Amino acid sequence: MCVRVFAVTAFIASSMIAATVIAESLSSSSAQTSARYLAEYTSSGDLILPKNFHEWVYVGSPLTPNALNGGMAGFPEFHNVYIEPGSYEIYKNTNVFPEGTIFFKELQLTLPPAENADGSRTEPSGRGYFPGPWNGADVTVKDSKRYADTGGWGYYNFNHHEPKAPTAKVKAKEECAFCHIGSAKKDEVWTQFYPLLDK
Amino acid sequence: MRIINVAAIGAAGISTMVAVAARGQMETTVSPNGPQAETVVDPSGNLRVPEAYRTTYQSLGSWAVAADQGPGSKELHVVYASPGTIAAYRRDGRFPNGAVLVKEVFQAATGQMTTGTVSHSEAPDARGPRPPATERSRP
Repeated sequence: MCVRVFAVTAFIASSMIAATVIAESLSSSSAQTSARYLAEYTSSGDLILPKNFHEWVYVGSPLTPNALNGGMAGFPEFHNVYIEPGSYEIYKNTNVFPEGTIFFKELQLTLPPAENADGSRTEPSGRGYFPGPWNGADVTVKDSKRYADTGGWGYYNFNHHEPKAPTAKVKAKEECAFCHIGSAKKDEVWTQFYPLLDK
Repeated sequence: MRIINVAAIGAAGISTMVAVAARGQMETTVSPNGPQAETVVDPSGNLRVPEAYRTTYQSLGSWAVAADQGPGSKELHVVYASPGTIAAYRRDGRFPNGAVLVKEVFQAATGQMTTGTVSHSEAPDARGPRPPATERSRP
């Protein structure tokens, strides 16, 4: 009896799975695309702060301490960078950042107070720079049509302080894209600093 | 808590430490709060580095080890938490049984860029070949 119930249940479940697969294959977008988080915009075209980025794939944390950058780094201080997971899955398989890719750079100040001229302090694990308060965010979105003037990527600042702005306007080419186009290793992304992406 | 040191540096020039918040994770029954431990603990109680932690775990935080000489940092220590660990901690104020933390150590380089004096993790191929990974468990 139990075996029979199990078999029936398994058949129903497998049928449901098959139906789902067929439905998704018939839809205009692929299953992979439907699972992605894509950029959301206001009616005026501003980018809405992406959601749940702390659950995205983390790729690295370049560090520009204020103390080593004239007291106020342009991007203070840890740059904790995440990529939207569905975009990463495609990149992993294709080696190309797909349309709709989002990178989220959350800034995070070092833990105060600094004890040395270079901004470092000492904790039980040694002397260095430890994570402190969050400090705003920058976001970039790949959309070759929307951002054709900046190489296919749009750049946004959601404050360099907390709280992060709920929306942001796209930045002019000379503010962000210029450096990315000139020096980033791959498709305006600094893959040279992110081992997970540098292939 | 059990700890593994991966004594060797992996293919990406990285050393890794794994910690498991453990109580009864050796049992075959999976705790609803801690299924992750099942993936890193073998029947003898040895730990291993979980697979795909870079893409399936959440980043918990990083700290940078200051350079011995000159400005900047020589290493970046990145800590990842198994899925659900951070949410459970924020909800309950403690790490759930079965939580797995991975600390990965990246060699860092410091240089001048348009954003200023920057320390960053080095590319995987920057330090040449690596010895094979080995594990050592502590009671």
